[in-house]
Parts: sequence; C-alpha cells; structure tokens
Amino acid sequence: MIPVPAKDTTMSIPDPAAQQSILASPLPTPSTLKHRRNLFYQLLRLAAINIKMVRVIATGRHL
Amino acid sequence: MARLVILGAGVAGHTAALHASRMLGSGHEVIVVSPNSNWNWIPSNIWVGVGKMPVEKVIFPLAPVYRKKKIGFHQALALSIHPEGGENHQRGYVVAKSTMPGSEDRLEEIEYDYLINCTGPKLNFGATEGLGPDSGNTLSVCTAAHATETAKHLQAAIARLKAGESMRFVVGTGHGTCTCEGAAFEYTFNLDFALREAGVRDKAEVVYLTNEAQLGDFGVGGLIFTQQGYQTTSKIWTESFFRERDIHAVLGAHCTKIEPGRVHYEQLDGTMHDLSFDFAMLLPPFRGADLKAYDREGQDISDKIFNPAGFLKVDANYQAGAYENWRAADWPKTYQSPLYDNLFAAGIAFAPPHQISQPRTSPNGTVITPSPPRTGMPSGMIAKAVVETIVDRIKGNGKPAHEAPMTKIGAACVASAGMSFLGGTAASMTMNPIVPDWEAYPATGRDLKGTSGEIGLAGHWMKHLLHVLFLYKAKAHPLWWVIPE
Repeated sequence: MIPVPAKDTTMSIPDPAAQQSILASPLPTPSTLKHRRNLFYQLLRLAAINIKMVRVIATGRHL
Repeated sequence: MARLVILGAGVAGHTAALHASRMLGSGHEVIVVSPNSNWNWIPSNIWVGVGKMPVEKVIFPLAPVYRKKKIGFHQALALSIHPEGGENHQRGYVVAKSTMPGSEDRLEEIEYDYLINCTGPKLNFGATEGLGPDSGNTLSVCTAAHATETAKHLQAAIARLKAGESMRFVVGTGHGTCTCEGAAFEYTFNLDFALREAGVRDKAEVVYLTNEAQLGDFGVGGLIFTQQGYQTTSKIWTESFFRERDIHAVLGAHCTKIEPGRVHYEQLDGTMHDLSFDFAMLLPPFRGADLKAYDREGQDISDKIFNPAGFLKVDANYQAGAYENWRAADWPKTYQSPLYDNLFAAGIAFAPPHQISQPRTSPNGTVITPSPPRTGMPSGMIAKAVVETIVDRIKGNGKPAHEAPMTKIGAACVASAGMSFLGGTAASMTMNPIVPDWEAYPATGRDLKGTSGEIGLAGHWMKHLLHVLFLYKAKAHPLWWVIPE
C-alpha cells in the first residue's frame, strides 16, 4: 500500500510553533519515496542495516 | 553451592536468568521471582495495539522455559529486600507475595548469595489525574492486555470514521517526565498507517503530544548523523517524517489532567492548554517497583538503597548537579550497589544519575524533560554483564567486575511506522554510545560511524526479524545464546 497524502482536516493547529518547524523541514521527493519501497534496493538496505547493527554490537561490547 | 536470585522476568531479568543458568551449570541455583506468569516481547505490543498482531504472538508462559533450563521460578511479587539477613536468616533474603492462582498472598522468604533487581517499571498512571485505561480516560500499549484493549477501541474508531465522522487522535506521553518516547512515536505512525489502510485518514487528525522539547529527542538528547554527505539531526529527520505523513505535534508538554475526551497540559513556556480528543493513547511515567529494604535489625533502609523514584542506586555519580557539570563518567559501569557488593540492578530498575536530554523546567516550576530510556538492547547487555561479574565471583575467578556503561555501549532502535511485508515502513536508528560523550566526541557527542538513521521497508523487515529472533532467544531454543542482546 502506498500512502496517499492526507487531506488537511485540521480542527485547529494545537502547537503552531511546532507545526511551523515541521513545515520547514525537507519533504522526501517521489524518487526517495520510491526507493524506500523498491524491493531490490530495500534488500540491499536490509543488509546495510544489519552491518551497522553488528558494528554497534561489536564496538559497544561490554568489557 | 551459591544461589542467585533475580527479581523480575522482563528483558533484563529473563536475559540474566538464561545466561546465569548457562554459565553456572549444575551445582548452583538460579531463581527468578516475578509476579507475571508470561513473558511479553513489549516492542511488538505496538502491532497488537493497532490490531495487526494477535496477542498470543507477543507472549508465552515462563514456567516451561524455566523448567527446561532448571531455573527455579517463584510466581510472586517481591515486597522487600533484607540484604543483611535477619532473624532466622544468615544470608540476605527477599520477601515476596505469591501471585499464583490458588495461593495468592502467601508470603515467601527466599535467601540469596547474589541478588539482581530487574523489577522494571511500575507504570505510574496515578501521576496524572485521568491517565490510563484502568481508572482513567486514555489507552495504553504498555502491557499485552492494554494493547489488546487499545486495538478494540481503534477498530471502533475506524468504524465511526467510515460512517463519516471526523475524529482527533492524540498519542504521546501522559506526563512531563515520561520515557519511551520511541514507543509513542511508533504507535503514532502505526496508527497513521492503519488509518490510511482503512481509507479513512482524510477524516482523522493525528496529534503527537510529547514531553520532548523538540521532535527527534527520543529521551537521548537527539542524534547527529550523516546522510548523503551531510551531517543532519534527528530533529530535522523526524520533522520531515511528520510532514510527509501530515502528523501534528505538541512539544514540551506536561499533561496535568485528562477528562473524558479532553487533555489538559502545560507547555515549557508555562502556558496552559487543553485539547479535545476522540481517541488517546498516552504512555505513563515510570517509577521503580514498590520495594522496601530493611537492615538486620529491621530498620527501614529503603532511602539508602533506592532513590526517591524507587530505582536502585548503583555505582553512578548521583552528585553531578547542574546540566553543565554532567559527564559521561557519571553513568554506572558495573551496576553494583555501593552498600552491598552482592546486590545489583539491571534494566529500568537501576537509578540513572540524571537525564540524558537537557533538563527543562517551565516558569511554573514544572519539570518537562524525558527520563532516560534504558529498555531493550541496553537492558539485555547490562544484565549479561552483571551475570558475568557474579559468575566470576561464584567461580572464584578473581577477575574485576564486568562493565557495560551506557556511555560505551551502543544501541539499535527500529521504530515501526507501519506493519506490512511489502508496504510497511520503519525508522532504523543506531547510536554509539547511547549516552553522548562530549569529551570523546566534542562535535557530535557520539561516534558518527556508529550513529545513523534511515527510513524504509527494510526497517520493517528488520523489526519483524528482531521479533522472531528475540522470541526464539527468550524461549531458550537451541543456540539461543548466539543471538546478541
């Protein structure tokens, strides 16, 4: 399922300053969103995440 | 023959029990005292809470596992520790009240040579009026039962949305000193995902209400990591995810009272607000278990052993004072009580020296700061280090105590943002170390090679893999000990 952008149903923005900061942050491009779901690319990322975790476990191993 | 008693059977207690049994072998005794008959893989409660996983998949009975590993199991609630022994007891002992059906309230006195307190948190719903599912007006995913109840409410809410109603969902922290912001983040995004799947997201406003001063703090003071050739922050990264999913946020909030359908809160600038809701899942703050401690004469020494929140004091520096004076060296290394060298704490039960996030107080004097997270991976690693220390001592190896300071060990955190094999998402984060060490890493607080963040389907696969692996490990299936903590 590809998420669709939600319609703005805002009753009232509860924290305008927080919302302003959120709206100033970068929005992922369609290409980035596609990469996040591409099965082949994500298999590679799964391997990469595993390597990162193994490194954290190995370097952080208790004394 | 030595006896090791472990209080609690959560991630820390269960990890400690399995490793102790494996390392000590026969000839010594390992006993677990826990009021719960089931083990619960709490990270997957998020999926139970949105109706994506049946509760049976996140719990299993402890007794058969302990029988298989020859670990003694007392299904009982620990009430008091007597580290100096007492009348009729030459060794330290614990008083516990049975929670076994048929023998409830029967008191037991269990002697020990070594004791590890892994009692985890007391879910302190009482800290905020109206908080919690039992006697309050909000839902929770802290226990498997709470998550099951929450899923039912969500299904009812989705039915109302499908009938054409518009609704506001508030998810987050129910008190200014909560921890586990990561769990609230996960539930927020899984809720968003469930609403999109049901085709009703356009009828719903989702609000993340948090005690964090900024998004991406997660109780660890935020992260700095590299992404596509730039150093970025978890604040920008998290805000971007909120923008993508159209989720609103209320930051620096301390809930003061929750009425049916309305949450009252104070923000860091001292202003008071209230927000109506149709569905609210708000996490409680944690306290230590209600354990007391007595010396040999029966005098109450609880305030010497525990901090005011009920967590066991260990080898930390509790006199660090102001934020400017905080150092990595404040954090405990061996988790041994400074008063009794056969008493340890692991997981949430140990008293941290201070928060990790910068402490903040509103002009009204209200503390609004995340408490330090110490669940999951650090819980297991600390428990294993403590067990190795105790095993060395029992076997007379004469080695120094093993260390697992949170300023040296790293952690991986995979925050689910939607459960689906082909359409799911998660935010995968690593941090090394967990507690920033600004002396070792002056620019970023952490090692950039070990600190990362990325969003994608692979994270969901990783989260599911962790679910399978940790349940396998917790059930002590063959080669369980190969799976790292």
